[in-house]
Amino acid sequence: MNYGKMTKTELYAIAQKLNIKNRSAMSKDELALALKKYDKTVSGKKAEKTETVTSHMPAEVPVQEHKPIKPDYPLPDRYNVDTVVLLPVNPKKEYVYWEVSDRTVYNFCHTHNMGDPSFILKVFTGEEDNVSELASVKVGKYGNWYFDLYCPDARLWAEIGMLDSKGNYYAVAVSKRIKMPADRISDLIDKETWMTVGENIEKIYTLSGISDMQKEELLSSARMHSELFKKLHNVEASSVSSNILSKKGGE
Amino acid sequence: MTGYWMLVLHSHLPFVKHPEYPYFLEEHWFYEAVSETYLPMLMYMKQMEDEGIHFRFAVSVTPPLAEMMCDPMLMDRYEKHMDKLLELAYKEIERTKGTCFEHLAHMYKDKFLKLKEFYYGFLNRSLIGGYRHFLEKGYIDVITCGFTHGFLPLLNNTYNAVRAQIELAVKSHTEKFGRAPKGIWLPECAYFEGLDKILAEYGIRYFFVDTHGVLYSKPRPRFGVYAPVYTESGVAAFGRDYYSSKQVWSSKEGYPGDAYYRDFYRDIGYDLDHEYIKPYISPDGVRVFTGLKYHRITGESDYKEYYQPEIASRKTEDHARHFVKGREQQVKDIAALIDRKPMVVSPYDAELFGHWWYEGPEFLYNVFKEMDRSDVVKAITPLEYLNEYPTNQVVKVNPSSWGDKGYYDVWLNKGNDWIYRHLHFMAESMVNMAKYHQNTKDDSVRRCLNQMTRELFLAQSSDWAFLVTTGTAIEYAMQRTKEHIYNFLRLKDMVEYCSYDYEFLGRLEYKNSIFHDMDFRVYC
Repeated sequence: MNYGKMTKTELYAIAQKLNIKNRSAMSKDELALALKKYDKTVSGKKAEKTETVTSHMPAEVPVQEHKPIKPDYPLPDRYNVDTVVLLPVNPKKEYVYWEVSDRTVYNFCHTHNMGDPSFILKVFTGEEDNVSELASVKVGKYGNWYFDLYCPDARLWAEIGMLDSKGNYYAVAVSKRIKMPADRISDLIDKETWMTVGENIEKIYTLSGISDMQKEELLSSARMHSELFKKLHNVEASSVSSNILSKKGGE
Repeated sequence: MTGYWMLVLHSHLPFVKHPEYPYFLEEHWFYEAVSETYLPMLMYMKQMEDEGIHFRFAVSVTPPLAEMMCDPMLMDRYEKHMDKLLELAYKEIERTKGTCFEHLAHMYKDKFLKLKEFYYGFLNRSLIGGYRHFLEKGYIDVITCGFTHGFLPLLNNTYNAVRAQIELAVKSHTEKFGRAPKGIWLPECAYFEGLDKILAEYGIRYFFVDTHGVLYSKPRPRFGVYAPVYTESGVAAFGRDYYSSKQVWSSKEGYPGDAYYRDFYRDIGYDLDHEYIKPYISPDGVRVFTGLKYHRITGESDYKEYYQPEIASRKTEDHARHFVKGREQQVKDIAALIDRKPMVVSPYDAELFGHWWYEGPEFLYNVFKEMDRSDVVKAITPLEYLNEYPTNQVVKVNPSSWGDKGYYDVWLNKGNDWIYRHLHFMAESMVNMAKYHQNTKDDSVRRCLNQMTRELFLAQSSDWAFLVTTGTAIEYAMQRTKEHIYNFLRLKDMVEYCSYDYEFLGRLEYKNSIFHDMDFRVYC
């Protein structure tokens, strides 16, 4: 590993991955030195040539990855915490990400005297005494998943758990309960609405654009920007030809 | 008077400041918006005030935008940018002598001179001061937004993250505009159930949602989107009117697409000889928009006629008349069905007027002028309407946004979903560390935590996820997200290991400087 040729950001990124102490206060040279020291203690002189990995090496950090990374802001892909989060995308779609920490896995395996636990991701709906499971999938220790559960107005949440060798399920983390959006006019009509507008309510909704809204996609700044961008791209692609055009017109 | 029209302009740009480069492309978003939208709008407001034209609307100036408007480095660069534009306009007058473009070069020179005069004169170099002037007169209501335009429903995993977005927004707004905001433009109009409680806590009286945010609420809204509704905590929600939005937003039928309006894409930055235009484009030779554009939309093809400002100006009058007529018809139709004066809410991105649609500010001026003459429909601010009709139906507003498809898809999809794992972790860490170090006397800890708060806020901007989805400036958006997460984690390490890289910290404090009075305890 030629640490001497790397930038400070690159060195810091590696130090972060390897969890080198005091890294944030180190200068570039100090970082390089610390990394060299680390290589010596962990991989040993011969380890770089042979392909054996010593047992001290954390599995996620193969030494081969120390190749120069392009100057970038490298981020961890997980934080080693127990978490699961459910976010609504729209009334028909939910996004869930989760992670189970190494410590939790270790403790679980230790308690249940087993090696390789399975991870189960579940989605629930309902209120206090009436909970039902909507989905249950086998997943990895961390990751994310899109569900296509059509649940307008429902309260949803996700749970990540593990199975022991007998197939018993143990929850590890549970998400917040999320109210999903509705996708149509509510059936709920309060009394006073009838007294105030009565049958006119349908007409009011028509004037509000209820039927046109559903016919075509809602106009939005997002769509406008992307349309503008497409046009813009065409301009850039044809900038040579417009150059010629303008010379005729402009001069 | 049969009913009301409520214009809402959402002015926002993400916080972009790069002191480490003498020229930075994305900083120009701000300079262009100032010259093309904010200054022209303020000038028209002044003109309406002088001419005695009745005008009322709500305008958001988001905290990052307000921060940039007050940033000495950015404003210094803006002033130089304006001088350069003027210099280019003078050069263009020489170059186009005797051609059909000559009077257009003069048009730009005159416009830039007028902008300059207004900026150094009436505004005394303070854009914020301009908004304050009209706010204090009661013509407009200046409202706030999430502190860094964070997409609140997707930050809601940590309650404090949403609360911090609101708390800092109110703080920053109060500092800049001299009074606490009464209204808020929710970033991307994005609402989730329970958000109203936080708004109420900070004295916010109203917000806006898209059409289906009100129409799909529970129970059914009895006046559709033609009256505000109250949430359970007593904050009013105004729903966007579909038809008036469409007249302006639609790329096909909308006014901005008229063949006589100025074309956005034909710009001399792209058109002219490289050697000639070099001093006015990116120093590395990459062509960019200069703002000097000589052609009109003409039609679908690449063939463009030259721009005729007099015709375009008359078009804004025609369109304004058409728009006001449409609103008159709307309020008449609806007033026949309900027992109060209906209101039509038309929210738009402020930058549409002037930046994308060159004649937009003039169009709005003509709309107000025309409406002033109408005895059917009248412009009104949200607060004025709430004062006239303080009693409204209480409903549960539907979670929604004004993005494509109406929900959260634009800000949460396969291209940008990775952001949220980081944002949530950062917010959780921030809460823990803020509580732990609450009473710290250690200046290094305090500085690091304050800067971590800034980095977290900046990472939360919905603009990054948005740009990734629309494919504009995708690389910059990714880079900015990663930069702030990376900075945050590195500062966190510093605090946890009690070892500080002061050079790094100092650099961030100067560069990512949003809100000088940042206090990490907003996360307690």
